[in-house]
Amino acid sequence: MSDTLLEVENLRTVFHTEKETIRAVDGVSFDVERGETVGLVGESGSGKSVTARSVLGLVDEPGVIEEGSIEFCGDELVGGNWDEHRGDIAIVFQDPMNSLNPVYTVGNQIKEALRIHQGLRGQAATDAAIELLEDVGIPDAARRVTEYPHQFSGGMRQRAVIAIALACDPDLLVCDEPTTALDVTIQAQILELLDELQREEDLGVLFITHDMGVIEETTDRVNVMYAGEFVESAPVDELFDDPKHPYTKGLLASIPGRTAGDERLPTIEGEVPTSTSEPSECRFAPRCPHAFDACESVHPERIAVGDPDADHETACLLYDDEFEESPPEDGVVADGGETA
Amino acid sequence: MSEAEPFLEVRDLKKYYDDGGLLGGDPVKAVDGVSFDIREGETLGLVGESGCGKTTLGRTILNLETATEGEVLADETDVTSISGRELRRWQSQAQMVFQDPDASLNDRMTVGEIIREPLDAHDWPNLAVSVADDREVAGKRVHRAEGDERRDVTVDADGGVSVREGAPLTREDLTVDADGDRVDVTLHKHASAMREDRVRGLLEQVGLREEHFYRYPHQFSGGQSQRVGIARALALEPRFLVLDEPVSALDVSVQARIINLLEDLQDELGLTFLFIAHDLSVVRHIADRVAVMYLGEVMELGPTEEVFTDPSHPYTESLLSAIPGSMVETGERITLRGTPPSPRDPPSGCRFSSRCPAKIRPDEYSVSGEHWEALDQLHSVFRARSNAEKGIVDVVKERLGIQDVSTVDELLLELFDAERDGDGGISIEMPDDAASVVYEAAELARAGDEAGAAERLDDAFGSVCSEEHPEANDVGAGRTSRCLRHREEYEDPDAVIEQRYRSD
Repeated sequence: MSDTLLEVENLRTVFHTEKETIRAVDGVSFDVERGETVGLVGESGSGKSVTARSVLGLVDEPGVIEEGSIEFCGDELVGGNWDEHRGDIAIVFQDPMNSLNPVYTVGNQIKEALRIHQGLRGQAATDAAIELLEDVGIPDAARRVTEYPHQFSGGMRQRAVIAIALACDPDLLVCDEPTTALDVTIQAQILELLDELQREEDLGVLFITHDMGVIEETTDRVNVMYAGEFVESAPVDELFDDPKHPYTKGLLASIPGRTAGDERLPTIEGEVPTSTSEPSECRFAPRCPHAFDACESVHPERIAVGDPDADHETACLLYDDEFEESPPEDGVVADGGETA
Repeated sequence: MSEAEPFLEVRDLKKYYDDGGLLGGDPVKAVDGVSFDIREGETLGLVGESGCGKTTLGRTILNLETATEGEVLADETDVTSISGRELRRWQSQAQMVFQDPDASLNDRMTVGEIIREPLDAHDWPNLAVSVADDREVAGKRVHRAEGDERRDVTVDADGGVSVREGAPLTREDLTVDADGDRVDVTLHKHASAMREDRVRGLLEQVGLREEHFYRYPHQFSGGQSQRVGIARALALEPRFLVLDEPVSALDVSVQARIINLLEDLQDELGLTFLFIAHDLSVVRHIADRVAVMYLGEVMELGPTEEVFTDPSHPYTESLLSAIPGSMVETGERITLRGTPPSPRDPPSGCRFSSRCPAKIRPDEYSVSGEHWEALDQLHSVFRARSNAEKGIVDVVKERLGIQDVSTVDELLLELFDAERDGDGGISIEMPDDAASVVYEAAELARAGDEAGAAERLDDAFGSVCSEEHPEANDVGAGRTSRCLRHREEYEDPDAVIEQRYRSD
């Protein structure tokens, strides 16, 4: 478990627009080890997908990685070394139909990846493609390999996309909301498949989703992202048992159906802000039910909280000894009486 | 609330597409014999996988789709067969909120215009005036209240006038002249001013601000757009809303706010909801009762909490166990294989039999659990192949009798973990009687007769589940479940799943 695949250090990805510079990812650091699944969770616009694209070197103009380092197996990628590791990192996107080319057979698309990344051609490539389709659980693979994406169901398409990703023989798999567009039964199949593949191939997985249930089920470690920053990082059990940051607590509380009953759902008011400048305050403060004066003038640093053995960090002044405010009692979440 | 009167009675409702047609193919049975009541003031949740017919059912109930068969009774009127004035009245009482707020709002209209559109279309207002005795009602934009229509204005025998609370006008806005047999009602406000006021009132009701009136949909976030969609649906003061995945496209924090809004509106306005969703956790939170749909049929129906904590139908059980995270403690996950079969060609007998984890198996074969699953899968592969659209090459190959022998062999090797024996044949480790059926079916498939192969497997390994169509059984406490295992001679689905999947 100790060999680290990916080491992201203080990554900042910005988008230069005519009006302003948007800091989509603003100083995040995390590691992914072999065989480990690291989760990235947050609302739309919090910077999850830009983080994923940065790792793959897929950030396009006007976006640019302004600062920080991304090391893959010890090699620095920032600065254009992605080509050397092309194929070592693969990505699975949310919508399988957008990832597949409708005018080529599924087999052709897998074979393309096999040719580029493993140099396989002809019958050897076809056999390998069939094997990959079998690996991702598509029944009757030998027949299916000659079919087009439109002949596949939604779940099978996502399996095919995963097969293409695996054809690169990657070490690290980035999954950007891979099950969001799927039914819960199909989602369960895909999550099971990813878990199986990870164990077989000892893959590192960076898993991005806004679904806390999926996070709880699939990941080992979770980073909660808000406005380009990680506001809390912890092992998954620790995060769910003992969330510290008010944002994490709010996210967990607003999931419906966790408990029975007709109680009103607690909500987090407002929207994720767009970060355009160096933070001099807590970006969550305007929406935070526990914000106090200092939150508007001090940018919180990440500090260790919770179980000392758990490597649990959060960026919130409530846990900073310099300030007198103390965190709310455990179990008390954001006041549920707010109106929509 | 649970004992309230039914607001809507759905009886054996069917909606088929491509019915017969020129080529006489099988119709798509999107909704196939659904019956349930929706009670006044309740939220009935409707869940199921994509393509199970949830949305079609909702649209057919609203008469947005013409029902093929069956009826939907509201106040003893079958709303599937009405037209003209009656239909317009029903449409003002029953409205729909759509899933994708961006796609359901016109980009070129301001929010004010969007919300106002139903008012214009129905030439709102048209006040229902209730008068004593047989007196006539005269005047513009008023009519005599009929039946149990909601009264906007009441004029009693001695000329006293009262306006319904929450009506879009006040007593000062109208003059009533009760003279002998005739009651003259005159509105002082112009209809367009009343509509404008109504729209502003709606904006406030759904938590938007007045300045949003002149904005365009693209200036709104997803949550705000959905509020606009809700305001539009509420414009004509409906009593019933079909909510088709209203929060599926939203972030969890925004989703919570919309759910709270819907619950507030329901309390405030006494609305009845049909809440369609594939997200079971949302349904658990909002619904009083829940109906679980599969391939056009309601498999299980009952009070939400009971269904979630103790599902009766194997499909409900599998669906619930698929929810990620620790929301439902149903024990070990049962992963359903594949996707639901095509509604054009549903399995014979029980619709769910091709994927059922608790399927009744014939006693005469002693086959292991894994091999039973492999047999089911083999059957569905043959079925899928026989139904697949065939390209020209495939058809030519078939005609010439050239069949891809290798794919059948590979299938057996893969599914049954079998090995090739010395002379290239395949032997499956299974009791001889069962194995010989598989060999026969494989032989048929090699010869190109995949339908025959599927049939051979079905003949041998099928059971009552693939022969008999289960009725909706009463399983107590206001619940029904469509499973043959509820019969006395069979073990309960629960116990079977426990034994097959959850014991070591």
